[in-house]
Amino acid sequence: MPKTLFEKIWDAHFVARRIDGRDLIYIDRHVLHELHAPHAFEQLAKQGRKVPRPDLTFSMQDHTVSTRPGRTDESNPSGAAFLRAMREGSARNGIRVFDLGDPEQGISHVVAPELGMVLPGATHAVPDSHASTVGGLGAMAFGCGTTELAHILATQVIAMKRPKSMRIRLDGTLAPHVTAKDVALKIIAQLGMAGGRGHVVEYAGAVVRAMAMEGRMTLCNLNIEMGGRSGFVAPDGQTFEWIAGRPFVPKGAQWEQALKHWHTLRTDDDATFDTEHVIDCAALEPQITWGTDPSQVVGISGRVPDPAADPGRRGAIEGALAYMGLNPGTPLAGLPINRVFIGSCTNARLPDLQAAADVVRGRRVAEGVVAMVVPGSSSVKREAEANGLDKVFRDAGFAWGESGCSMCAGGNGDRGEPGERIVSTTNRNFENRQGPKTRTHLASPATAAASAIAGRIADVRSLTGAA
Amino acid sequence: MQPFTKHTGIAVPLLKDDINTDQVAPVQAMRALKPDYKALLFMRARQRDDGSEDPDFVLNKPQFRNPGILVTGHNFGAGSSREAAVWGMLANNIRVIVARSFADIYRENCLQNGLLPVVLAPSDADAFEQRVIAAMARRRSPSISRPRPSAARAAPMSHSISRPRTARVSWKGSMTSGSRSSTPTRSRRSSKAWRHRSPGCRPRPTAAYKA
Ligand code: SF4
Repeated sequence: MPKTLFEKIWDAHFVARRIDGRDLIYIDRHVLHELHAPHAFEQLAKQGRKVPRPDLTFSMQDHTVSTRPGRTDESNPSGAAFLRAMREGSARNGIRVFDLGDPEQGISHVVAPELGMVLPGATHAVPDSHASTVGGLGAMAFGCGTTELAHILATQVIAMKRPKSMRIRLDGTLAPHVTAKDVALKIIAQLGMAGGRGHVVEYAGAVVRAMAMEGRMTLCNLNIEMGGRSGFVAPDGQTFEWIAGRPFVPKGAQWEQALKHWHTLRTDDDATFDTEHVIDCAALEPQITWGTDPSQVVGISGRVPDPAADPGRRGAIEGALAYMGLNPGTPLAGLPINRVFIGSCTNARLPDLQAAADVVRGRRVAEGVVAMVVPGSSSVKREAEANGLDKVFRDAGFAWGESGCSMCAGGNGDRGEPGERIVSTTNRNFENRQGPKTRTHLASPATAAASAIAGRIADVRSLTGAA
Repeated sequence: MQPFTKHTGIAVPLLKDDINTDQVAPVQAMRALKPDYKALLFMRARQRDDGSEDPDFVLNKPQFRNPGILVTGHNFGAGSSREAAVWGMLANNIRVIVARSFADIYRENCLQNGLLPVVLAPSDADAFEQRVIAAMARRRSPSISRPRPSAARAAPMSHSISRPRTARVSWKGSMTSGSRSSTPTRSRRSSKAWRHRSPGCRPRPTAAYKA
């Protein structure tokens, strides 16, 4: 029987079927963060349960950490209790913490691939909806809530109904300055907020094959924004090259054995999917959101839509336009902005910062615009500094922060002011997410950088002369 | 977890699609390890810009001060996996959500906590929503109750509306017993047994994991 890669990974990790119809799926790597793990540690302690595989579990401090240089627990007063509870719970259960000051601290979804904690064909769980970021490496990752997190800690299995399978084939070649972020936004716009619901998505096609590993992670990161249960890219030579030698990756004979297995990680030619989509990306331009959910997207040369033209969604569009302070028919490019944020598990890996720095180099952030770069991990920060990117950003007037989630969800207090229009490389433009009444436009690092320079939403191609 | 046997309550219509967990439980309301889960539910929508209560928001209306059932649209609970978006419902005594559809993780989180996620067949949903809207005017409310044992043998989470103003819901599994839908002891036993017969090709921890 030909199988999809999703089926192969699922079946290889299938432990048992429960009476309620859920499958128990073995979790190879489990990465926690301090916003949700403390409650799970408390549940375990109450039930008197232990963590049988602390060696497969890692704790990250990312959501509530301050991004200020020289930060301590107290730099973000409301985060201190979370950081301490994370430390204590992890210590009690023998789990390693990547704490403030650790050279490998960072956003869980950025650090796990970076250190090779998660591998092709492996299963991965995080109490966080963006877990599938690591799908870029060909791993199958699931986000979950706190109770399921405690269950995984106690058992090393996740309980869930077997999802359906979907393949999204991305055809064509991306134009210059069109990135994985733009592709992902296009997909969400086309399939909608619930387009991937109940499915594990395999991203395939020429665009994905040509995409750098970091781009594949961006693509898989945004899978949840169309409701996908998990999303991944089948691993290839580039994947193996990228992970080779990373600290937690198998070595020697184990590497050889793993490599042999990883070469089998592909969907069989005759395998069928429950749902298939094909999207031609050849003519794709940089994308940006205009509304209050990640499916409300237009090309950078596009205009704010007219609610009257879409009777089915009229109410939702009108609500979004009112919140965003926009009128139908207004071109996106040229809208004055107040703030730019480059960061998050979506777009704060080294190539993201590189792309933004290439736009910024030798230019200045527009008068009155507050601009900030927060690397996705401490190691990204180190590498960026080794390449002089911090200087490029600082010289241009950007703030350069310590790694963490920062303004993505504002869990550490970083946020915009009411009414501000923000161009952000993050994943959610929901109302109030980046601060009460803030108006977020999601875009790629290059678009965000170009907008910071222009002081308006900008087409990076016109700034760099590539259009 | 509180067992779910029968829940009767006032049905609150919040008939929008894609309501996300940032709306249900804003991060800014979760600044403490143990926040006020009752207050955080739809905190932003409840307040006007000056911080005063918004009388137009449905949960602030006098007839919905004691909600029991939330009636909503497609893809409810999209976005973040935060379980506080479920705990906030329970803290307000909302034990049932009737939606056109649920986001996957949110639905799982509901089942873990005895918050019953109900999806009605489209025609039943139309009828139910109409009744909720009508009841809103009359200040009476449909209720959802556990069916007789014979009906409980139907497929999990299947449901029928049999009588006016009553949605009957049947299901099996942990919701009725009050035990967690994930039972750690059993899972752990299967997990251990599985590891003994697990294929050798899966990546194994290397020495670095002990670091
Ligand atoms: S960067 Fe944003 S989306 Fe990613 S884990 Fe942090 S808060 Fe969540």
